[in-house]
Amino acid sequence: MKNSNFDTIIHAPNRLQICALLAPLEQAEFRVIRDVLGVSDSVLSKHIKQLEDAGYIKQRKSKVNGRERRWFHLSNKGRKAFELHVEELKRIVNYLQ
Amino acid sequence: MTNKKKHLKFKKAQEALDSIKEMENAGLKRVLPIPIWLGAILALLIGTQIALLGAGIRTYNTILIVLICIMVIAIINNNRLAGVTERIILSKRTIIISIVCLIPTYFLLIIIGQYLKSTFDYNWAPFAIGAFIVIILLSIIESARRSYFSRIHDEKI
Repeated sequence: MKNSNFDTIIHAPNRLQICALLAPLEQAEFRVIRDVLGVSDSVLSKHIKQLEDAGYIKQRKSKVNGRERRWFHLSNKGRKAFELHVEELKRIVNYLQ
Repeated sequence: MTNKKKHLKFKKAQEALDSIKEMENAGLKRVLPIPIWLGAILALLIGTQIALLGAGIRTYNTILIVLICIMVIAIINNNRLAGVTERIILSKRTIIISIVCLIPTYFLLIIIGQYLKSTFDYNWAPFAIGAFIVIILLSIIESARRSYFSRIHDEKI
């Protein structure tokens, strides 16, 4: 699957799910992403780090009842890359149908 | 490309698209819309404040402002507890313009109420304006809730 719009960073199942989860949202908390994906903290952290390194997601820290909470949101670059990736997947499906 | 490879590629792409739909829906389901009772109380407080200020009754103004602030904090907290916040599709410019328009409208309604009361002796006018605002705010909150639920319904399809 080689194409200019096909993003190999996003396409990995867990990272694709993270981007898809964040797409309709302004931001989501770490625990919510972990619960929806059904993965461990370490696995999620690893994928989030890769997405952050690519500049696709950004994080914001806040304190609720003295506990630190991490919130994530898609950056403009990440949103664009995700939209293009989805378009590419749709194009593949339509072409091969 | 052989037929088998084509089929495999198609299957993988379709599975990825299905997974995207499923996750988008899961994200939206986590968003808690403003509970109708919270929206109703907020609308009622704002409407009451406009009505009382229009009628020249300032005794309860401070307590109403405090209650409105508490309601706004409760709504923000509602999102924080859910762990997600819904994406506002409106642009920042539209939001700023809306706020800039809403503030003068708020004062204008109070002034209209005061004017109708003092000039034409329509004592009911500020309360009618307040009631009108409550209805408008409730309709906005209800339509936002409906649009949220229809969005979830559309995702299911």
